[in-house]
Amino acid sequence: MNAIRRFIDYRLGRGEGAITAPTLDGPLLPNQALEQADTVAGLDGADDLAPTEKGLLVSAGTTLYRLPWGGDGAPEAVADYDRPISALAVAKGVVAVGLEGGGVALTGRSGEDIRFGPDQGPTAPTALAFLDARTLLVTEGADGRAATDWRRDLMEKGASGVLWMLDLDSRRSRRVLDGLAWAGGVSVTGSRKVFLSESWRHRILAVNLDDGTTEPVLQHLPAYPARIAPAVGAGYWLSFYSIRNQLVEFILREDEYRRRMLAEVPEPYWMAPSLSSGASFREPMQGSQLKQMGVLKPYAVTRSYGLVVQCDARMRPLTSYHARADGTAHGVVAAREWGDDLYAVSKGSGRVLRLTGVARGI
Amino acid sequence: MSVTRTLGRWRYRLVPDHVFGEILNKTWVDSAIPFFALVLVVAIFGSIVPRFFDLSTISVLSGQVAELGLIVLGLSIVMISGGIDLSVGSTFAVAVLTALYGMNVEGWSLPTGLAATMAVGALCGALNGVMVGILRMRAFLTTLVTLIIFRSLFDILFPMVSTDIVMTYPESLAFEYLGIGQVLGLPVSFLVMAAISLGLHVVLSRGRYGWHLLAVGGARRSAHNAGINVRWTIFSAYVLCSMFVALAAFLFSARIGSAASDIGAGLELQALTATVLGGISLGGGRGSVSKALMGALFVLILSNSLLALAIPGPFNDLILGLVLIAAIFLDVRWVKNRHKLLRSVYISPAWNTLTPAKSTDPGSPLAPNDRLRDVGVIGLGILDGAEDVIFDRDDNLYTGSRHGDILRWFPPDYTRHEVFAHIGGAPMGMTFDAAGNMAVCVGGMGLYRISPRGEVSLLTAETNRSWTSVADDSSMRLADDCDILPDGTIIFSEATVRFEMHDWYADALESRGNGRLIRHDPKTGTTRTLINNLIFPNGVCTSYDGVSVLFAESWACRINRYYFAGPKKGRLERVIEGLPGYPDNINRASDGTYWLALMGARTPALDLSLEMPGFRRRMARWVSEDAWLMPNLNTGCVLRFSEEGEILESFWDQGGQKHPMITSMREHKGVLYLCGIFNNRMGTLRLPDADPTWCGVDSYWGKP
Repeated sequence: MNAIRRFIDYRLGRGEGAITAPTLDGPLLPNQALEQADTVAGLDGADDLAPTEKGLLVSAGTTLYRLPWGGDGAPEAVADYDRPISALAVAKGVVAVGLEGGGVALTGRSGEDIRFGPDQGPTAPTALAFLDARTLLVTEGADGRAATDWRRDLMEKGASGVLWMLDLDSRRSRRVLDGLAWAGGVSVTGSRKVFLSESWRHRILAVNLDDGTTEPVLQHLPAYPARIAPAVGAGYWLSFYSIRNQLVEFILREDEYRRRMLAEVPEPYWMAPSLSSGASFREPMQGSQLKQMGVLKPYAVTRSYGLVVQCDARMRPLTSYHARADGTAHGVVAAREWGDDLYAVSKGSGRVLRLTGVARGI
Repeated sequence: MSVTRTLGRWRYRLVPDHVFGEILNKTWVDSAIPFFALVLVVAIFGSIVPRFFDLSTISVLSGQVAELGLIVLGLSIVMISGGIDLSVGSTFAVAVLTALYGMNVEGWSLPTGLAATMAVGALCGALNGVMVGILRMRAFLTTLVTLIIFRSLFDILFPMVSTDIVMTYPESLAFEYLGIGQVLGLPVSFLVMAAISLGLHVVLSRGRYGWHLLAVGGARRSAHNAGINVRWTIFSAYVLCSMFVALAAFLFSARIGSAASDIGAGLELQALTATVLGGISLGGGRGSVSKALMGALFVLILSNSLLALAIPGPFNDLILGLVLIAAIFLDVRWVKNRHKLLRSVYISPAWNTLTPAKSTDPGSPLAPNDRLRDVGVIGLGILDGAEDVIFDRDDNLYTGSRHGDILRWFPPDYTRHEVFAHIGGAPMGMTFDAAGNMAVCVGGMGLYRISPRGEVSLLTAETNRSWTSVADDSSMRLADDCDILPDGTIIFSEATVRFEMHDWYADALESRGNGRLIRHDPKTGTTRTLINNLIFPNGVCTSYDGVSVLFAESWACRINRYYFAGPKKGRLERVIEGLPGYPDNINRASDGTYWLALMGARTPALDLSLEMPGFRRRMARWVSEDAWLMPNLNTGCVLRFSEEGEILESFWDQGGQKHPMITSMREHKGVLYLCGIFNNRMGTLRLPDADPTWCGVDSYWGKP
């Protein structure tokens, strides 16, 4: 029965066979706010952010940097790890970092070090969030897969993402939820319910930590959601890996081409969403990306995009900030507010951006 | 190479997928549905109706075809003009009454009777015509009312004369012959109808009046805007229709010789079924004589066969009604979805295995660099559609524009320009002959000549049609680049015969050999295709010895050489294969080598899809053109290669910051000029090692 439905869906282009992507409209109407945002620092491989009293912590590669508030000084390295940092969170003087293939490491104010190795919990965390001072929530994109391997997981239609809950006192970890189509980010809400982004299904889920039940709260997103951060007015900032592309949706249903592309084409040249594009002439080009009169149209379809969406407490989009096809501030995978400003990391261009005043509350 | 790959290759080599789309593009495809319906009905009833194929049956049938056929032709004229005539049955009855009264009772001669009958028919038609055409009343309601009026008229008059009609016989022998006479076993009436059909076919398909009818039916407002007298055309269609009906009535009177009170009743159902089934659209603007006759034949075979099978009359009508419904349904679906079907099957990608790309690693002559980043600029913001550039001996620079002009820029700084000539189509490749005339390929138009004074004349827009082509490939769709042989013969490429210029990326998607190399001899005015099935041929350049031309095949990423003289005359050779990008124009360099523009770079993701035609076909069907996978035309380069095909050096602009999609370049007096068809500038690059006096025209024709 399923085979018949699949067959019909693929012929009619609906259900599983649909290749449509929602348009950017309403609160998601494009602008150039991210592209025009101030660059606070250039850091190759900048990935995640965590604001502290002393300054903004930025992870890039194996190093944790700090950008002091107010100053425009160069980022200072505050810690170095044995593996690339894949996620970052701070609470009450405790810094938690996810390490690519190395689990989670916590460094406390009192010098206590806690390490959850790959055998004790998540292998490569994509996002961290403190539920309370002694409980850490961790998303793992796909079971045992590196966080930087997200493109392969997307193109392989992976669905093995995990939400972990780590108890820092008992040093025990618990799998709250698995089988997720890439768990890209998590945020607490103040109750036993948390928000989780299930990237490849383009949605945000509300997860009940006690019984593991889920309910979609924001669906049909036009982009692949990544990390979630708390925002002014009990809302949330959503960041995104990239935007959906009709051709990618099409390739996702073209199994033979997809299989051969993953096997035969080097990863930077895949026809797949990416954090940045245009670096090499071997990258694929799509029809509307052809420069006309020396100009790449901002509304061209694109594989990389910069997008931050502000949502209200019930995860309804309020407003959004964009870097479009003609821009470079792409792959904005982390956004955090401090004071009235929003800081965002454009991993695609290796920059830390500041949107002044957009987080101003009432 | 695996078995499946080999099988796949051969499947795409042997099955000509692209032909389906070209057949669907033909106008006669509209007749396919009625034709198959006719074959079906013959096959069904031929097998179950006794004596179906007997000569007598066919003779009777042909007599009936003559009468119904004329009525259907008349109705077709009205329907092609966008109307409908329901009153054909009543008009028929009135005309039969006129004919019989005149011939039987009054004893008129045949011409008098015919003229009177036709006049009555024309009068009925004129009534319809005035109301629908001139007063612009609704055709459906108006003719429904006239149906009742004419029928009532008949019902009033018929009882008064019916006895006289039955009691007397016509005096005219000619009239009798018209009814029962046969020529070569066919009734005379059938021959009359055949002759009229032939004439009407010529008028409808070739004549001014037929075109007017089709135009009015297709789009009233557009026809009006085009200067067609819409009211008169519609009026005349109704008059013609009723005259055809009156002629049918005259033939009927001659055959039967008497009348019953129900004559012509239900005829409109038969005629309408035949017309719609024949594929003459209810919406107007589509239809032909052959379709109308196929429809008439279908209806007659159906009703006669049902009669022969002793099926009662009401059932007969019921079946006819159901057929009409089915025909209307098919008509609506066909007209609505035809272009969608065509669009989805026209693009038919082919299997294209590319030679692996040459290395662009550092150290190789093709290593990417940014030597084109800091170049001079000409015409920034003025140029639009400069595909090629050329210089005359006085250093004037000529280039094309999208608006159909050839622009002339003046030395020494090329800041001033004028419109040298206006052609109207997009100018592409250019060359000069010995007398200083420019030959220029114009997309969508053909090959043109421009005299030194700027006078434009057509050289050729047509070549010989190839024997195996389904679509007419004699006219030129996309003449691309040209060059000239020492004897003045112009060799030019036509990039694709399947797509218009603005659809060039669909040709890239197909990657089939849709293009050709053409030779034009200005002395004799003859144009012949030299080589067919080239994959987007482009960049034609005569070799220094003048016996061969080099040309590029863009989507195949290779350079070929074709010999016109010498020991290798008539042979085609590969010069360079496996280019890392898509070659465009080739031009001479001052040191005896050649310049080649790569308009874009190959990408592994697209290269992979070239061996998966099914994937590309589905992509063309499902994905918006904006999102199609295309050659990466934003980064290209200019390279220089030797006569033997060795690549010597390359000039890149990575990321296409100033010169994306370089379509041509030309060296002139130590400077290389770069242009791109979608760019708004022309670049100038000083070549320190080049001959500062070298001019391309001298290289062809010697110094003056």
